[in-house]
Amino acid sequence: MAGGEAPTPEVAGAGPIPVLEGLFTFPITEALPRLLASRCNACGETFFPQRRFCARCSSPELAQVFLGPRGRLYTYTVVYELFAGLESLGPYAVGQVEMEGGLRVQGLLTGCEFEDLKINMPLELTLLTIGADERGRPTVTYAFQPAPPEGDRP
Amino acid sequence: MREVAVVGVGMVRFDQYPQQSITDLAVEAVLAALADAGLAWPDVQAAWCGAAGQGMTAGTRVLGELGLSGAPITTVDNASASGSTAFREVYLSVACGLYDIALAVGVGKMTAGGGAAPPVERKEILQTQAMGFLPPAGVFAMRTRRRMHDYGATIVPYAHVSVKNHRHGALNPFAQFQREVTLEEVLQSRLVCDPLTVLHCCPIGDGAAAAVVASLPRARRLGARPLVRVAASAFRSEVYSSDGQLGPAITELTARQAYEEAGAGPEDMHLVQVHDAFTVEEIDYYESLGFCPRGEGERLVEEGATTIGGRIPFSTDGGLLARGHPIGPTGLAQVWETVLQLRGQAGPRQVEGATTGLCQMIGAGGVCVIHILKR
Repeated sequence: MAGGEAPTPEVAGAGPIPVLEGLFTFPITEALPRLLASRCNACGETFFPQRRFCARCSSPELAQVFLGPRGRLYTYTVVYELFAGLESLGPYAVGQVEMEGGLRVQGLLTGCEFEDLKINMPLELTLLTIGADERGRPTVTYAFQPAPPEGDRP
Repeated sequence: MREVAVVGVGMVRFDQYPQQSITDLAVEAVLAALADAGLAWPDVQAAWCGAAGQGMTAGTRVLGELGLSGAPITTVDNASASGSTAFREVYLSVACGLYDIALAVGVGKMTAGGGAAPPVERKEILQTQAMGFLPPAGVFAMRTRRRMHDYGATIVPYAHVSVKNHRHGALNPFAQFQREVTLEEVLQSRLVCDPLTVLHCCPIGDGAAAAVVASLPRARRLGARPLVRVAASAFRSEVYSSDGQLGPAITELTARQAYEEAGAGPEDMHLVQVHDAFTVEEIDYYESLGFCPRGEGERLVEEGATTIGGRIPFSTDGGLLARGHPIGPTGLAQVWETVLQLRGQAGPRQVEGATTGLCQMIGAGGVCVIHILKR
């Protein structure tokens, strides 16, 4: 995904940073990252990305909750026609992933060949470098990769 | 509310116009609509202009060319549904008795840039990148992929929508594409977003379309031709649904309101125009508009039910796929087509005996507008 960008200068402490705060846990304190979602205290609906007001009942009483790290692929596409400025990405895969509880989350798909993508395949969250900021620090986002079978999980 | 009739329609063929400004295009469409109505610009008491991404106050800029008459002009941006929203506004302004004659125009030059609305705020841009940037075709590619899974379909029925709408477009001198395409061409054209090839997607283009509406007494005084009345005007913004899919659910809700207002149902419609920007959408809307149960849309197009001559023709002018989709004017091109059909003036693509037609538009960001027109 990060192909074609300017080389990252070797600067002490120039570790990766999230492309945007508030989307996922960072730095990762568990084995896998988790998404930062909102749950409505009034009606119980969950949202990602986080919201200030509930989309269902308009309540402002939303609490931050963690989502993931596992889900199933609901649907996907591979983007071949790239927008101006994004040509260096090369074709990339995006999916909607159904998380536990049923919420569908859109995200980049990584860690497998396009032809191996299948609806309902188990996925888990990971981090993916998608660029660099103006100081040359790699910017990372959440992405989904194939999950190992149940028995092989740590 | 008073009864309202569409007394004039006009449009510029949707195409690429590198030499013309949006004013050139809009003026041509407005003059055609006014001539059709037997009216002149000073007769227009108020106007609404549907324009998405055409700069500030597109309406006053383009209509001012016709003369600074003082009539109030409002610019409306509801993405793909801008023209349909402008039409609803002129309808309401006359229906509620504020004016007797009002004009809706839609204009768009998408070849000059624009296309899908880009996020403008830094936070929006970063969020879009973080969640996996998707062009509009990507959103509908995912919907197609899921429908294929849910209903055991291949890509073929969706390709049939493109073949049908290009066949209709070939009969429309105002369509951007007036050439038939074969199933093989659709399947083998350039891959845009898997599984959609370019012929599953509407083109980028330029154009303008306009409609003049009048109160019924005023419309009667204007002339004899079969009067086309607005039987329903329904409009909803997105209602929250946990599946997060814009389109089918909002269309179902808006359609319910439109059918109730018209005192009619799907069985009373003779032709339908929809937001077929991508082939899967037309199939979704067969179901949402009540023409078949959920999951049977693929069969409807494969049986030929939605072709001209079939049980319920959809996208009779070629739809967004072939007639084109310059965003701002598209909803008014649907009105243009429906009015010509209901007057019996649609030439080789005439739906025999058509007296009632439905126009549905979806606008990105979450709106649905449905009008039912009746002779």
